[in-house]
Amino acid sequence: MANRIEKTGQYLTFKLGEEIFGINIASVREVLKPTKITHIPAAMDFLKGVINVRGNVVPVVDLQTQFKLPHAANSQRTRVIIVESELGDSKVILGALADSVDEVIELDASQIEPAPRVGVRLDSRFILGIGKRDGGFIILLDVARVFSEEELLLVEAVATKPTGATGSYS
Amino acid sequence: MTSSLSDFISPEEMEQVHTDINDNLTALEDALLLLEKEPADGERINTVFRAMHSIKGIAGMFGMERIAEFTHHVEDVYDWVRKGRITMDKELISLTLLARDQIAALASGNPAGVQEEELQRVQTAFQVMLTPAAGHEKQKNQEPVGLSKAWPTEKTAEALYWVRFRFDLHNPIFACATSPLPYLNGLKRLGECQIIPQFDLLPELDDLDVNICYLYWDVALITDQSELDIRSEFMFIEEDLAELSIKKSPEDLAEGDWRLGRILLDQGVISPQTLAETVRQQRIGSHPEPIGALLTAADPGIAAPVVTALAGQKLVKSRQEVSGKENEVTSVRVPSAKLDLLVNQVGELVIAQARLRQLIVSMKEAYALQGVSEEITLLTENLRDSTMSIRMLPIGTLFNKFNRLVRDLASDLQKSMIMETSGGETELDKTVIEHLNDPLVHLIRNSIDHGIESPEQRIAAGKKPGGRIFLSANHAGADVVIRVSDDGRGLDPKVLRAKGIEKGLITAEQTLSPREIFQLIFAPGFSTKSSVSNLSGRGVGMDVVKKHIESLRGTLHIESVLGEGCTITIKLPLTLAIIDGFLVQTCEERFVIPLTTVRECVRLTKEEIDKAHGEQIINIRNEIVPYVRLRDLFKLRGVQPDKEQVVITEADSQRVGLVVDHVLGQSQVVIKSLGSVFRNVPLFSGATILGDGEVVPILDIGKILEQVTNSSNDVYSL
Amino acid sequence: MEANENRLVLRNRNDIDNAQELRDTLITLVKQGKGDVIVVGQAVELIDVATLQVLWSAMKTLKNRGRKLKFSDISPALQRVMEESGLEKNENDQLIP
Repeated sequence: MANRIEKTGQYLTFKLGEEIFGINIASVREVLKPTKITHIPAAMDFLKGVINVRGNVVPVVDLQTQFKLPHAANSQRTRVIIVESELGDSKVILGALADSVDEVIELDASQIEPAPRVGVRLDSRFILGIGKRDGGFIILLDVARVFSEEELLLVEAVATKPTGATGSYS
Repeated sequence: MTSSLSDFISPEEMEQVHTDINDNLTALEDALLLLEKEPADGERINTVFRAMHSIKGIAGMFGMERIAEFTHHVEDVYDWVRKGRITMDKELISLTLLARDQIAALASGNPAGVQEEELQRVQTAFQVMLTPAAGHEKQKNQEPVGLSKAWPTEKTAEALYWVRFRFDLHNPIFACATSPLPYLNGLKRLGECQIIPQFDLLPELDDLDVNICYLYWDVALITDQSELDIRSEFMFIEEDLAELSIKKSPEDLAEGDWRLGRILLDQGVISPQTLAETVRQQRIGSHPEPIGALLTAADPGIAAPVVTALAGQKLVKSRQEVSGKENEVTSVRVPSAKLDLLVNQVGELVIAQARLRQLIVSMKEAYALQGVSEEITLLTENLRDSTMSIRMLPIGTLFNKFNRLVRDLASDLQKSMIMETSGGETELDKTVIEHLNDPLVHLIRNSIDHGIESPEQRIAAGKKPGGRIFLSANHAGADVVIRVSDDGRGLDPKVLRAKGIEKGLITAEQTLSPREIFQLIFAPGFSTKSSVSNLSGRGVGMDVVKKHIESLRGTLHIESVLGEGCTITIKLPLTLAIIDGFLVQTCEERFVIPLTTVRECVRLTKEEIDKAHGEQIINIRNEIVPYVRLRDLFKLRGVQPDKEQVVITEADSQRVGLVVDHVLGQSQVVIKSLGSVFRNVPLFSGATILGDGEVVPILDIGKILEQVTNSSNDVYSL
Repeated sequence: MEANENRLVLRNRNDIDNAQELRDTLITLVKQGKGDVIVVGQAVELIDVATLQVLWSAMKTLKNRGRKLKFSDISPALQRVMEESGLEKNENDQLIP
């Protein structure tokens, strides 16, 4: 079930492939040019690795892989959006790759519709709503859902069975 | 409880007062527990008396009348004990321990913590002792109960070593850019040194081959490190040396005989006859000449060893002076927050310095800068070591606290317990020790409650009636290993398995090794005692203990033999933040290997590969060491070079070689956590940011070893 | 380095690459000169043990001929390397001036 947006908000818009997305500016810390991503093997394929942001090690997520969208080629305009989200009971800072980052726009409640069940390639659980502007659509992302613990596979099922020789409790 | 005086006291002052009282209470408790073992120890009795006296004074000054009154009686009793009018016995100790608890409750200012009745009872008990009619002439022989040994003060003592290293004259080391300087500096880092270069092999100019190092060095070194540690300083050039000798002087630094003659005798430079004769010679004549001069006059060939011995003597003398002053130990209280800030700042400095160094190395002709850069590197390393050591405390402080716990638990459960410790001088970062308290308490409680049988059961099983808990701590590579061992009934795999099936954690069809079955204990909600005793109850399970240890980036393992006991091993990384890293590269990716795990570095030649006939093993001085290529482990893409390097690493006394394309060198690295997102990544223990700004993962050698020895087919793709 | 009468001025950078040249120059000074040799260290910014070894060999060679090798104007870099290798004192345990 998508959340409803009640009031006017500011959203940072960016592109993944041909689609335009938006994130509430409150979750955005900064936008960076991409630097070398150090690959860290992880359970989820959309966790690309980590980068250095002023001395901090920040994980980087490839949203196109996470949302199962087609990739555009890496261009000059690729950016990393540094996002802050709640993870469990603490904050986490992550970077999200975007093909290009556009502008911050304001949308009030009248310009936003709830996500349709069908017709949008992206799973509706990630969508806060669809913003309408200049005849185009902006898919507004629910950051808390996109970067939730379940998504990042951090929550282990309690009754995991030990597997073979190595065992899963060591 | 407080008079109007407290209204005039600032919160900071009150805090200081509480700290003082608590310090005294700690000293009091420690002394009492030791007195249980040796009731006649006058020094300890004095300590108890003084502690009470101090508390009484402080309490009186700051308007804590109740405490003052209470302590007054105890103090009086101990004054009589001091004077021999009352005998120290088990009951008195127990009573005094109770008194200590009451004082603590009163001092905490929490009215709910004070049990009025109990307070009265104890106070009265003391008062009664002071009445002439009491006649406390108790028997001296008692059963020792809850005996515990104080943790041994086995701090490795400093000693003087004579180190000599001499290059092979057939080896043109200077042409290979080898220099003796890093090794001399390495020795300086181990302790105080006197460096005495030796010139006897140095030829005149005509015969001099500039590529050979004819100079060699005798070094007198005072250090608390072992001979092995000293030897390992020369790890990388051992093959180039014709001689590396490390001899420990048998003389005690403080009390030994450090006369020149004695030193030369110990070193084997002169014989006892020569010494005796020279001493006789010295006594003849009105102006005794120094022994050194006499010996050299008689045999000019020993001029150099005499100089060396004199240097060593000078070193020892200056050390003795310093020690004398050090024994007046002064310490300073520092709020933890300030220390943490300091550590963070040093961490940032280390990163910045690494960046600076990298920039300078790439500059041409910047010799002056390079010199300064090297100096700053050394200074930063020293600063890091000093800062880290400020935060390090011996784990014995924690072990000591458990004496009381074990004693009380044993007596409550009517079991007889001995607690022994070893390695109490092992140092850990302060915060790690604080975090270890709860898990260790829980493990000890568990042991005593569930593990140790009652005295009757033990006798029936052919064991001694008293149970034994053994706490130990030691360094192992980059980790600290802490063990909690008991000689109780041990774990029964059958029972555990049944419980596991019952709780739905495993199915009946699964076959598990004993080790895997033991690991079930760490699953949430697991508990074999049907009635949770009120001691280890409260729902604090072993899974919480495990999570706690893992939050410190540590690991937890159980071993047990049914009927004999159980050992829990905790392994924690030693420093939280800064380590020496060994940087390697394969394909385009770089990795850091903790230097403490690195044993040596060899080339992987085609011969070695062929000799192994398809197995990935290498022969190092007749030891078979398995290796794994990092490019295979992490599925890296790139052309495999003809010449690869093998870094031999060790964890848990097992070795594994890591094959890489290039070895890049050493540098200090600041450990950055990979964060909660990568929490479950097994082969990396963290990451660091190098001087060029790139994030580089730090390898977890222990986990890599597990993987290699389990010959798992998993590979991780990047 | 310049060799003038019996003065030898060390270069800015001294390591294994020019150690042989230094040795040859010193041999010349020993054979063709008389009296002591003065080594001027003012310009030294980089120096290693290989170079110091050559100098000490020269010191020994001269001593065996009743002459001395002395230092003048020791730069901080030179001082540091001498201290690190224990060569800041001569065999009578006196600091080399």
